[in-house]
Amino acid sequence: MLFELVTPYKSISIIGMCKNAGKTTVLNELIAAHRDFDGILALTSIGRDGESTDVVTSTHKPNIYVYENTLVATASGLLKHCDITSEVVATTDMGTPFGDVAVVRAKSDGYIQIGGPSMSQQLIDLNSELMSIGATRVIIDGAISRKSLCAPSVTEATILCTGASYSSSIDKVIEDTKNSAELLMLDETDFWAGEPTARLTFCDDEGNVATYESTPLHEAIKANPEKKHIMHRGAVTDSILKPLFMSATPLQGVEICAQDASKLLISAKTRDKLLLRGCRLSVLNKTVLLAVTVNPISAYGTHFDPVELRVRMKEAVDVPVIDVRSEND
Amino acid sequence: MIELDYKLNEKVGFSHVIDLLGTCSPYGTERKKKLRVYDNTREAELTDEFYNISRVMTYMGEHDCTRIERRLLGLKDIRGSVGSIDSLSLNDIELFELKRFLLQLELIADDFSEMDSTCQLKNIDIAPFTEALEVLDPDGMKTQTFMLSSSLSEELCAIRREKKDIEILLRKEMDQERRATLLRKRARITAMEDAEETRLRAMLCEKLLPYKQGLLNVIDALGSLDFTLARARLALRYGCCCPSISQGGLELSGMINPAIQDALEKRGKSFTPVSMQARHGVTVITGANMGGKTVALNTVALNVLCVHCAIFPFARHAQVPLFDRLYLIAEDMQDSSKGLSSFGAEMMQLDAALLDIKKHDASLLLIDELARGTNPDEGACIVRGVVNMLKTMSVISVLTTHYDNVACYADAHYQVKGLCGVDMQALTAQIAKKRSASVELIEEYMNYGIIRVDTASEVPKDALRICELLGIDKELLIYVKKYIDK
Repeated sequence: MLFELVTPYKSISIIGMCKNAGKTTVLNELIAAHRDFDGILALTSIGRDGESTDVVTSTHKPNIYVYENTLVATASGLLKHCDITSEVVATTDMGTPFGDVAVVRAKSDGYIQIGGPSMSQQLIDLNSELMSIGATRVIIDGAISRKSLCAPSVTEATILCTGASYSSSIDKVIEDTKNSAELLMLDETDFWAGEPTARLTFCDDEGNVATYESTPLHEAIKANPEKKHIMHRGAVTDSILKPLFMSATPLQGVEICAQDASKLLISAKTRDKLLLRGCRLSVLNKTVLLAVTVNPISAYGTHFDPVELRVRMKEAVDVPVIDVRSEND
Repeated sequence: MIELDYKLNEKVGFSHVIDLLGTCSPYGTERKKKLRVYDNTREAELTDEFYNISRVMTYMGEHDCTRIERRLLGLKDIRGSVGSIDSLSLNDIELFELKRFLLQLELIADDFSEMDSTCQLKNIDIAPFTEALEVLDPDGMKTQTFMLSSSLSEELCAIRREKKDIEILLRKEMDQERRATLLRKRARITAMEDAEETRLRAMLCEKLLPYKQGLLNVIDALGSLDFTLARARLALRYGCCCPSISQGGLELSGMINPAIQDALEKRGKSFTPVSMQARHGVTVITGANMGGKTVALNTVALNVLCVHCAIFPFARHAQVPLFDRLYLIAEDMQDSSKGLSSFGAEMMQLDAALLDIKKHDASLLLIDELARGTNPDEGACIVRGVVNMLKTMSVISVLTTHYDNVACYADAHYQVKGLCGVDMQALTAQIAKKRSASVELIEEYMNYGIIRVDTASEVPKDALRICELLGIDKELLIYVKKYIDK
């Protein structure tokens, strides 16, 4: 199922709501699905991944097992932890705590550890480097709290992983995952075009523009009652939006547009409040959310009923929901 | 030997010159960062450097060098790996970079031999390292990748074959227990592969060991070539000249200072070239305020530094002796953290320099407006004293000053042209039209060139004129004039 979902895209990111959400299982699943792929699969990550024990929570983690001909971009210091027969194809000057990132071609099947660069721009560069070496599809494995990875400038499509490790309350897992998924699926703006040049750009339907660099959002909105279209450069967070509610800023008919979904770091509650007040969120560049994967097993002991989790998640989100373990069976 | 000092480099614009040198490879950049300074014991080497730059400049005029520069740009710094060949523990990444280096070297050597057939550069020898490349590319495929080839040992070949067989079985096996058995088997075989690979890497290192010194030499030569190309390009861009090493005095004609020129050009202005001759003894530069005495002095220092670092001087013609010491005494060169006044600090610095000069034969002493921060009567006496003392010493010294009765004791006297010969009426009329632009207009009319004058010539009195042009309060000027007339 995963393979069909990713088929139209050249680059895919896997992001998680938390540690142990099953990202690596999804990655292994995808790699296995590409075993007989007639293109060349390339793998990298933002930060380090693929250790058999998670450094943060010391829970058992599945290793990443690749097949012959896969390209792997990883920190040179992690190569000694890989047991593939490898051919070094390129070196880069992208630094990581484990050495500069190098690209190797697997000349056998085997286990690898991936530690890629940590900046979005480096991933964009690495992506094109991998393509120039011959990769036909690049999969970038995310790390916790690295939402920037799903920016459309980095990868064309994304898979969101969630599970029992996120919270001991199944309601919270569903609610927050739904919020994240919906943010990732926000519509592209039909008003704005081109990257913003100021932190805040206001515009009315006649095309009158006002820009701000340091004025708080709520003050700027009050100063421009007629300009209903707002382009917000950089991260839109709860703490930026909170003053809107506290100062009773009129929001009816207002559109707040972010550069892309990775810039929207807002909770379900805040989003509901915006909607209630008649404010619409949109993005300049849309991300493609391919699927939500669920992992009913928690690294911290509270497991969920897999059927309940899957069924409820399916009701909550508008994309395919996949249980990482049943896909494994 | 002249020691390079950050503060001096910044002040005279030498740091800017270094920044202008566009080296391509990490080796050329290293040469630029750790400049070799030449003294008179290394004159022959320095002459060779100048010869090389001249030849490359001529070559660049007729040929396109972008290909070799592009290839130099592709070099990575592998000195760390070469240095640790002895440890016999280079990893795949290091062996890969070594192989890439050797492949790139073949291309550069090709370009170089074509270039060298015309240039015949001295002390630069760049040839391909076929034997070393054969170690890392035993099959002679010249691929841009590196892996420990199965052809290196029968054992490795057998291990990898077995590993592959297990992996093929693993791909099909669905039964968890049988998979676990296969995975254990695979773990054993990958451990064997790892051990054999480690042995083979050590063997490759051993084979490379005899070429270590050769590799280091060719790296040095690549650095020299890159640095020479960068210096030639810079010299062409600024119209620099090949200097001759003089045994006597200093002679620099049509000097410019790129740091200042580049800044002026951004404002749509240009730098007035400066020419000067200074023999053993004392040369004094006098001139108007705002007239660029300091710039002239710094430009001398800059071009002398360039010559000593094997960079073509920014001049039309240059004859420079090789100095052991170069001192620049200026108020803003002092370290004010020691609690001395600026005057105290510059005198201490001068004292240290004079003491040092007595021990060294070939010194260049540049002094900018000595004692300007103290009482002018005593200040003038101090400067006259310094001039007379320097005349008895074996040193080439250049002083700037606006004190009277100094130049008459010197061996040579230069004056900044300043506002001399300027159509004052026209200038005054222009300023009257646009008072806010008075500083810019004065700058425009000011002639920053220097001319040699008689030592008896008096210091030009431009201060009052400049005050008038700046539109300083008339009442104040009447008071001032009264005293001047007295």
